[in-house]
Amino acid sequence: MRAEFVILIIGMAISAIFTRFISISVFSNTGVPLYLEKWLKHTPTAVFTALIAPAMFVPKGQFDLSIENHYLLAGIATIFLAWRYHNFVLTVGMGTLVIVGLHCLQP
Amino acid sequence: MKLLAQHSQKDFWEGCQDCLPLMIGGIPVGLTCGLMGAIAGFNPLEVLFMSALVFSGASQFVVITMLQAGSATLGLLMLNVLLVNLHNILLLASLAPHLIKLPKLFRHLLCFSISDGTYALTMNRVQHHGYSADYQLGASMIQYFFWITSNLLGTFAGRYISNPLSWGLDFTLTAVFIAILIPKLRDQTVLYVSIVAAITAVLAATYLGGKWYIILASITATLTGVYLEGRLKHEG
Repeated sequence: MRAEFVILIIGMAISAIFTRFISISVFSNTGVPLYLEKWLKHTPTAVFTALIAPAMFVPKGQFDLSIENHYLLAGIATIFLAWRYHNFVLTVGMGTLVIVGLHCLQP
Repeated sequence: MKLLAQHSQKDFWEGCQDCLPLMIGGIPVGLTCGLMGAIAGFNPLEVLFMSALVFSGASQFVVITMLQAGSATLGLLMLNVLLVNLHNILLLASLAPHLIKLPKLFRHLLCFSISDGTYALTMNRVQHHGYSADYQLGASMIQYFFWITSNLLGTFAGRYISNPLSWGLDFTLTAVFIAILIPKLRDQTVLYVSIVAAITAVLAATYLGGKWYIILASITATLTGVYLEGRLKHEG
């Protein structure tokens, strides 16, 4: 294992493990304050969206709203599949096929 | 198994059994995670180490995405891992009344291995039969075993695909996030939070560059969520 990856992985573990132990040490007697609960509730939605939207609209560092933007087209198709079928394997599998298909049609 | 000596082995095995159906969805995510890790430059041993120590799909995907998009500092990566894991604080806070009664080692094991899936199983059982730590342990161990194994297997699949990025295979990650996000958007507040996050993230990625768009979008979108819920309560 290379040192920079080991340091990175340990860093990730520290962040992830922090969120798993802080509750027990801080909130075990008092419960979670309401304002924090409201704020925390929406973080996964916000983070996932923030990862999806730029990957579709700004794939190469520049805003690209054209038919040549395969990431945008495949993203729209994948969103439709996810919305229509609620099936993880189907959504990810078909979404990947769409982008590979677009690459074959229009390299 | 010494851990279970004076506990219920029946509950433990029930937890294992109930978690197996979740693995139909979990294994493909793990395989994808391992594959994407290999594409981002991790070797199989490093992927194994990462999945065993971090044990969090969202964190692993976020870091892999950021590494692929270019250089990112360790601090920024850690901050983003923290952000996608913040909801764990909530899950564990709701389990805290049960967990504090357990022996230290047992409690720490359950805290470390928490995941959305096993939390859902555990809380579902709480409603019907009351809380069982052994049940939660069984479910968590199954999840842990399959997560690590599927991650490792995924890295080997990656070796058979030459230059996957030229095919747009990095899109697989986006598809994973879409598959996780879209079912949540049925709730109107969540939908608005997502729209605000999308607009902020696209604007920040276009005009600011770098990776700060994730944090900027998270702050504006979660504040929107808090505001909307406050308003709803006012009206209702």
